[in-house]
Amino acid sequence: MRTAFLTVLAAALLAGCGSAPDERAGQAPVVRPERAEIRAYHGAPPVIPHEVEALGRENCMACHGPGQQASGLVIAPVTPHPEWTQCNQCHVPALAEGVFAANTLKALEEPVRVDMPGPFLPPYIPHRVDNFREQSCETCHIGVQAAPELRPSHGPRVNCTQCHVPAYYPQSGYGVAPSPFEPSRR
Amino acid sequence: MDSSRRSFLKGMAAAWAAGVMAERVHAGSAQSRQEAQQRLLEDEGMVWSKAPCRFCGVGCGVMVGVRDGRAVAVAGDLQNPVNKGKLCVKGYHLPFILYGADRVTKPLIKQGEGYREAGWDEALDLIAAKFTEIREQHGAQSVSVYGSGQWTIQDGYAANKFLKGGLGSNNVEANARLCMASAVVGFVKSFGKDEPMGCYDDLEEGDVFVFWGNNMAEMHPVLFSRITERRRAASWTRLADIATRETRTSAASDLVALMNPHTDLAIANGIAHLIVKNGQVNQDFVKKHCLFRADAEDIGFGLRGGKAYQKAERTISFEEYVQFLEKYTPEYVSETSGVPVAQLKRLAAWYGAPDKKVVSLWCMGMNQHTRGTWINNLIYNLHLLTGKISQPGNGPFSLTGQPSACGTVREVGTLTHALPGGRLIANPEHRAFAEKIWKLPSGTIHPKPTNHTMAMFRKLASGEMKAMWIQVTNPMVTVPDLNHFMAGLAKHKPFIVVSEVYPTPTTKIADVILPSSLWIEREGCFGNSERRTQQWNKLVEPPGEAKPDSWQLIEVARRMGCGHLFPWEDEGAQAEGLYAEYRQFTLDVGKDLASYDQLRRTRGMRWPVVDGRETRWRYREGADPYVKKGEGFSFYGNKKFGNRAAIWARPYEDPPESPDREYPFWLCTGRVLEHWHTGTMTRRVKQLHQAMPEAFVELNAEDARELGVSDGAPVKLTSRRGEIILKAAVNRRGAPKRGNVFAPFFDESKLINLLTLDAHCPLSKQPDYKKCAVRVEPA
Repeated sequence: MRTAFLTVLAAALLAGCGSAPDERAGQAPVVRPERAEIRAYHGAPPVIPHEVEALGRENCMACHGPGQQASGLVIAPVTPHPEWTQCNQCHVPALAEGVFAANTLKALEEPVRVDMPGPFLPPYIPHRVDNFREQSCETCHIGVQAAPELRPSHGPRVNCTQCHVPAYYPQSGYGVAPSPFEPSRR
Repeated sequence: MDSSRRSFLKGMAAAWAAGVMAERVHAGSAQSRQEAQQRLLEDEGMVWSKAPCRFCGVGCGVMVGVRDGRAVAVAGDLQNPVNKGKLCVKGYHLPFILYGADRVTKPLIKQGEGYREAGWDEALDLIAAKFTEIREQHGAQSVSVYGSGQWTIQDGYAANKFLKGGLGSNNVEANARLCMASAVVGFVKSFGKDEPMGCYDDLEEGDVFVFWGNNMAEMHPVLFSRITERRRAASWTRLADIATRETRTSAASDLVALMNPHTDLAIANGIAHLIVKNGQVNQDFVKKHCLFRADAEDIGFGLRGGKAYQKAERTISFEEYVQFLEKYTPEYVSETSGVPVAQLKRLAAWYGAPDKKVVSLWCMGMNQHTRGTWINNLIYNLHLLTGKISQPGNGPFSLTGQPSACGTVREVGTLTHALPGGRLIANPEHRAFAEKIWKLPSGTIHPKPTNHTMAMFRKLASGEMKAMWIQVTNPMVTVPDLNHFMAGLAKHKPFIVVSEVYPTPTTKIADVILPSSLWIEREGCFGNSERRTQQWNKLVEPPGEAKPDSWQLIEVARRMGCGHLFPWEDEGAQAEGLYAEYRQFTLDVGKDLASYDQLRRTRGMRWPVVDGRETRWRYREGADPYVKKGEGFSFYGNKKFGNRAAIWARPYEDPPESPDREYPFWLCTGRVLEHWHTGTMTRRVKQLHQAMPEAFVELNAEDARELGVSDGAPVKLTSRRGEIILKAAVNRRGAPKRGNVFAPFFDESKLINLLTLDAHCPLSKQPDYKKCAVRVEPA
């Protein structure tokens, strides 16, 4: 099933809307190190990497609602989930340095760019996406607030998932978990 | 992933990577990049499995990513209906709790001032010998097990069977006594059966959500987000916060009623008064499905040497109940509680309006209360008077604090008066049933409840209780009036065993410390607030020689001649065997649990599970299989009252200790978003520790100005029992009502429970951590 789907998809992409090989190849870092720095592991919500005078949605959304260049090269990304109003349930600032006790977790690494297997094919989405909407991709990939190395070479287009498919989806439970009516993998 | 796709991708990826991609690499070697890509595509060695979150009573589902035998990430489980893919900041940092560098990995035996490493056999032999010796010398009631709502169902069941069935001691208690006992007694007094009738589905159906002393935004974050999402999506929805301090919950609420501590009793009766006065009693529902009850008043506070509660329960008429409510006019209630009359009328209008669906939510504010049982009953009154119960979006919902306070403590019955499946020690038929399942001679189980948690600790401090085995909890941080207990323990030196994962103030008092498997290092089940039982498998190996708490109990039981009670050889067999045996207690008593196989396959099932189907709303025809056709509603826990629920006349009474000239402030204690209970696990997560590094005391800005204290300045708090210095938090996360201060209890180096009072609800025996009198001064 999956093979057939991918083959057809690849054929369609090659025939219909083949994009030029990535011009920025060789310049883009494999991972944005800034991204990893503020996350406990790939998939964890980022901590608040700047000083905050007061917590609360209004204060967060002043910059993260529209998304903007906050100062100089510092970018305030637009939130990918504007419907969730309790920002600080997941995003917390650091009020102190140091640790209470050391921790030896080996965290899941940031994803690398993974191209579909073919010279003219677009990259996979190498991470989980909870809900596909314009903002979901916009947060990191499109608009002034997107890091240059994560912007698409083809500029903003509306329907990202027409060409880009998640690499994570087939795997057990991460993107889409097994059906409750089927035995779990373990 | 099927193998054809795997090989297709592998071939193509390899060819492609070898050709074009290698040129693009600039960070890391070509080989490492290729490996990383293949790992991403194929997930080689990476396995994602379901588990419930380790922390609070919400019971969110997580997918745990395991690679090379170690947890490396979690993700919200998109298929779990509890959280629908979302988690809170604690949940997102779950994998770290396993990997603190100072894990307890070997049994430790006290030697001089320190501890020496020992083998399992030596440690278990020592515990068995000491427990046997103490039991023989001082009787079965001199040994005890003190567990927790973080025990798995299997752990709790093993402890219950070992002590009550094996040793003839009813001294099995759990820290849920400190957190859910009032909820239990409240349910039983009103409905004859414990635990909520509704479920989380109510959160997408209600029109009005009323928080009673519950900072849900921090304590039950994911459920709170479900409510704020409902508020956003349905413009008519309203949120009301009744509290002693303004919190993040208040900030999201439409109505914030700031009350004087303890006056929720008056407010609830005041709302009932207005419902009656406004003619909004659902007469049809009340006539068919309710009765009115009253009990003794002025019942004391369970204090040492204080007044004892003498039960005087009786049925009264509706007219008598109305007469009882006479006193609770809006003016009287407003004067007592400090809540404006207009707000009381607004709340009553919401509760009373026939076309508004109302969900009441509460947790510790109402449970940790010297009248905890009463205030639980009084909220049920509001829903029973208006018939707003057991229907989608309509109902009282008692939230729990711990992941298995419901599953393990309330359902398994790890309390001194309880047996599994809602049964009671004092009931001869219930004892006989347990003896039958446990294959014990008739009369083995001790016929009387012995010591509730506070009594246990008081007896430890007085030397009467000689031995205690503590698992999954940290009482040397959480017991109220700590100075008293610490002094008693130092004097009498009881034999203490502590099963733990990290060093804590409680391991410091241990004679033997046992290394426990934590969360996904073992197989188990939790039961959350909405009656959902969730199962998870062992996903990683525990560090060192750590073992599950149930295995530890069973090994000691074997050494004490109780091996026949636990015929399951290894850990895996024990997990399924203990559950399967326990499940027999739950069938046909309205608590029917799902089969283990069904739990394995699903994201949990809400009991009663009958014919493989879960129940979302109990007590209503069509939703609950226990309600017969034509009954409409049936509160079948109250068989003795014709399946009617009880509306209780419970008065407002003053608390045991109120502010005075010498101690002019109210002290309230509680949790914070970032830390789980005493922080044993969460403080070992850098992100959580840095976000909430130490305890603080929240002051009202006006009070702070009068005291001459600014934000961040050190402040000394003094009660009649102890003192502590904390940094002031002014206009930070929360703002207490004038005359109130708040301090969290997670910080083991700043023990707020040195100050608290061990007064408790005389019915539930749950202590009140929310109210005592303190002096506040700049330090």
